[in-house]
Amino acid sequence: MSGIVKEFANVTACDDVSLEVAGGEVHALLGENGAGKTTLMNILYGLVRPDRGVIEFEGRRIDPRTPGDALTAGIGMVHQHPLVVGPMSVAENLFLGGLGDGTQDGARAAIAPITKTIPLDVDLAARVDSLPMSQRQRIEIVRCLARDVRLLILDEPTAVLTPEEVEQLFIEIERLRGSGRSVIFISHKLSEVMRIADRVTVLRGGRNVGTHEAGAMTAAKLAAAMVGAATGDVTRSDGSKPGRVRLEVDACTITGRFGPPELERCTLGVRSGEIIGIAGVEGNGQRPLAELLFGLRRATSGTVRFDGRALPPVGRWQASKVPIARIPEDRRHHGLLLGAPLWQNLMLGPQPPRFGPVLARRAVLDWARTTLEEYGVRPADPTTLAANLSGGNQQKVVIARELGGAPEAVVAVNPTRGLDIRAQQEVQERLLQARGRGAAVLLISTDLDEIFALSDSIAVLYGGRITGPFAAAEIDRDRAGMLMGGVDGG
Amino acid sequence: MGGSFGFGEGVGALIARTSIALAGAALVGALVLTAAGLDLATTWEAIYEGAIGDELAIRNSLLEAVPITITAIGVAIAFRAGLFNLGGQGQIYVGALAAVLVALYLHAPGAVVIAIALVASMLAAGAWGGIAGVLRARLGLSEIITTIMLNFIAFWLVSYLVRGPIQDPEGDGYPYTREIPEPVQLGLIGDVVPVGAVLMLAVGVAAWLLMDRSRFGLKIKALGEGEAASRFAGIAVPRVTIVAMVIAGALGGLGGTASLLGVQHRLSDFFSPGWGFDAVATALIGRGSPIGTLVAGVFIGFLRSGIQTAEGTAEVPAALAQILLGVVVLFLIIANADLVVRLGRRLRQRLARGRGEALERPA
Amino acid sequence: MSDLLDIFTSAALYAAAIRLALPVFFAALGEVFAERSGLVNVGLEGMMLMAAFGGVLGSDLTGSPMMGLLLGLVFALVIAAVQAFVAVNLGGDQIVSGIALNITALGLTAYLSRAIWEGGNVPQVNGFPTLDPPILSDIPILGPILFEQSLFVYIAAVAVAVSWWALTRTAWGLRLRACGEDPRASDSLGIDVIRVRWQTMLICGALAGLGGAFLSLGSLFTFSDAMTGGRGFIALAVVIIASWSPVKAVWASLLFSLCEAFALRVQTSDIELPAELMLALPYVVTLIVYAVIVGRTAMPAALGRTYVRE
Repeated sequence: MSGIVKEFANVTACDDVSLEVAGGEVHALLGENGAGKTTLMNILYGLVRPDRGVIEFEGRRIDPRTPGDALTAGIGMVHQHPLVVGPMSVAENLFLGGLGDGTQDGARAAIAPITKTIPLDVDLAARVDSLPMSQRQRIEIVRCLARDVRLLILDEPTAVLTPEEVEQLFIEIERLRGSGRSVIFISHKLSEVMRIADRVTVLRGGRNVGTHEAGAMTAAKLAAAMVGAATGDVTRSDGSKPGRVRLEVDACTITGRFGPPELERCTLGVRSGEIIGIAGVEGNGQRPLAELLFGLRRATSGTVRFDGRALPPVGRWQASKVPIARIPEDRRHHGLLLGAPLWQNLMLGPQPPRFGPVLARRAVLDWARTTLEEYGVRPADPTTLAANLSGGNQQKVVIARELGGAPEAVVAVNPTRGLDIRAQQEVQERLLQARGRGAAVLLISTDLDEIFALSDSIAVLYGGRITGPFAAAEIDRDRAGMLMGGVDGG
Repeated sequence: MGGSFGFGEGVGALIARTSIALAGAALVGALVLTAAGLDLATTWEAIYEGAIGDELAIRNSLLEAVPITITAIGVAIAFRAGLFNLGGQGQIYVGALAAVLVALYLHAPGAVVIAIALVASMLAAGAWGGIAGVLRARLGLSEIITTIMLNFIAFWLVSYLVRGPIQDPEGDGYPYTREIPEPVQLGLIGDVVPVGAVLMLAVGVAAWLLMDRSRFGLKIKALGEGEAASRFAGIAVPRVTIVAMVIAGALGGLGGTASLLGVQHRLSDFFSPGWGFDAVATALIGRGSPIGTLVAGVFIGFLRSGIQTAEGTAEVPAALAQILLGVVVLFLIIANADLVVRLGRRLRQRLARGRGEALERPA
Repeated sequence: MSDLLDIFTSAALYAAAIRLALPVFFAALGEVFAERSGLVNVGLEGMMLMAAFGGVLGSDLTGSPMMGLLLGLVFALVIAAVQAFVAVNLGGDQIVSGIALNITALGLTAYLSRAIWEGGNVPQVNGFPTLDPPILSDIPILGPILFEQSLFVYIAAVAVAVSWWALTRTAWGLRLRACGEDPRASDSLGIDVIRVRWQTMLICGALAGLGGAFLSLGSLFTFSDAMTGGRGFIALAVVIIASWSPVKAVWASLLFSLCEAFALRVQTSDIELPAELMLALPYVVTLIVYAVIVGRTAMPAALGRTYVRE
């Protein structure tokens, strides 16, 4: 690929990027969130059309307009959240991808040559949305290989896997390399890249800032290349003294419509002045737990209490003055009204100031501008539509709205996902400030680094059950990793 | 449902897109007229004369505009809550029914009867619209379908009443009621401006205050922008849904009643010539903003009235108004479609680059 | 009471119900295709109206109802093509464009019928007569109900079978449903979402056109303004009640039309029931059934959402 340019509404995702991948190599694409890795690969796979640039594959110039074109040329891609049709069976999905005839036998026959090397231990009749992410990924890998793909793109596959599943995936990648195929492995995790890649290309701000032999690099050098300037981690002062329990989850169970309960007898208490981190691989109950704490959903049994009083449904929070800030995972769907100006978004907060029955426009705008400036949102213009802000600034608006009224408790779910490293630090510092002010903070995150950087105590969510919390000093990553995979290593 | 129609965008873009759509519709109109073998200049003059040529024309145009505009403002408010109120037609009938019952059977001073009739029509039609709101909020029924069903039910109900229990005994069997007494009829201010037009203006201002200057208006708009985000923010989504539909219904009833008391003076089963659907188009052209809808409604009233008059004077087909209405909305959708908006943005960026300006990159 | 019993036991009621069901059924079947692929098409009413008009125009010009039917289908397909272009290619709001097309079709047919026929006096034209197939129509009771019908009933029967087979038993049907569940994943799997959705929208136009053409050429043999009378919207409700299944759409449209046929029978009988209130019955019943059934059916996950690639 050379000279690839792609501009979105207000971001240049790829700015004159060139990339070369050799046959039979594992080429890692490293960069922060938003560095342009996924966009570049979506271009290669025909999901996104570049504004400019040339793609050559096996000596021929190609112009994949659709994923179908890319597959025909021999390029396949497996997304982090595999793009499979959830309500349909595995066999049907394989068939939609051009394999077999929709029946189990047909599918089995079509993938037989592949499953000798990469086993697909999946029930072909199962609905895809009932399968764990690792199996969905494997379906996609097998599907690509059966289409005789010579270049396989893996888009941050490990973020949704347990440590054990990651090992399995690496074995499969080794086998692919052994069979002469090329693999592009997208990640922002240095350790993984150092382990598996032959060469590494680092993207930063939509530009290629260098391709290196993995053997000749150190993790520290790659980190510096990825981030640009050296940045320190956030520092957690250990001086805070946790007070009494403010936010309590008491034996909460949520039964799902199908299958096992989504949450099972979860119990947890968050004290003022502490951060409890909930680690876990995505899809293990984070969502129902968050919805429970956000007041969006009721527990089948058990209660959520604040200062000893059961939480009402969220519609009554403003009226009953519940001082809990909520930072949702999906700011584009839950956090913000993208089509509305920032001042309106700020007005949706837990405790916006009163402006009288007829909103005095100037007073509202002044208050909104002050708030935006205080939280470093750019532009700090309250009439800008939320949709026109970058991801980091959107998240700052959510933080400003939720933390602006000095809440006494904070529930945050993956608050830094998709942000660049500076925005990440700012958000994390805001959470630490809230803790310093005496707020009870509950942090649900699938990013283990974030959990360990911020938390005073750490619990693990697996299969809808909570293990812990343990004081941060009493649990290490290995132990957490095993718990995340459902193995209680004692 | 819904999505990319571009409600609540900036005034500049709104005016630009609407102008483009109007120009496109004008072009289609010119094509239709030419195809019909009409001379454009004389046709235009006839329409213009018919719309605002003299005091009578202006009065008729305003009268034409009133029911459509008032109903359309209700539709616009529902739009901003993300609701498609296609039930204007039924709400107009139910509102007018309540008003005509008050006007015919309540014996009191004219002004008192008028006031009670207006309130009664808003209550009845508000409740009618509220049915669709409740069905949507509590059971998840699409208001697109339920409001249409309610239209037919309201229509046949009125049809039954004006052919039976409240039919004019001296009406030679026509399906209409007696005429409402003179003191209850809405007159003119001066010789030109109908009282209904003042009512229309008042509704526009009140709707603007509600949507742009009140907390509840914020909630309505929030709901329209995103149901998930609104629920997350603690907005009582069912309540806002129901209230928005009640407001829409009440304004539909008020629109019908303005025509009942001001123009037709009796209820018939051919009372509303499709105002409910014209109102939907009007609210779309007004882009869901109360003031925009007010302007669009008055414009459409003048256009329709002009074309109707021109049918007599210059043989302009009356259906032209209907075609233009549909075409304007179609062009507006195209101007607001995802792809077009994106292409426009890219074009502007290209132009900016062409002028040597640096591309702004978000921090 | 015995009069009511007479109505319910007369074959004519059920024959009329089938006749009245046809336009709604064809439109609903078309909508099943569109919605299964993720498109909401509120423009059914406009498509039907254009086809009803085109049918009369074609039959009047050529004297052949078959040519009328063809012209009607072409008119409906034009509307479908506009809808597909706006909703599929441009990613415009599907519901608003359907509404706009309904309004345009209403105006256009009213305008053209006056421009073509002096004073808007649309003539009676040659249509499709009621068939009287030997043997079949001699079957007691069922014969007159099922077989002494227009050609369109036979077309409808074939259309149900073919649609059911195409949607549930073919590769194309599977791809189509995938587009309705998750267009992005379908795209990634190599399915041409735009192409599939164009196909379903055109099928929808053709079927809604059949329904509209039946109204004019199969039952009234002329055209009048807004003669579809909201049947396109009834069809939208029918699709939901039928939980997006072609076979169930038969029963759902019959439910509506049976009420309508009953109301019309009452109107012409000696029964002392207010005819106008009876005519509201089909809408009341549809509304109630919709309220009872909704939420128990799973709609295509991506229904009504635009899908435009970057």
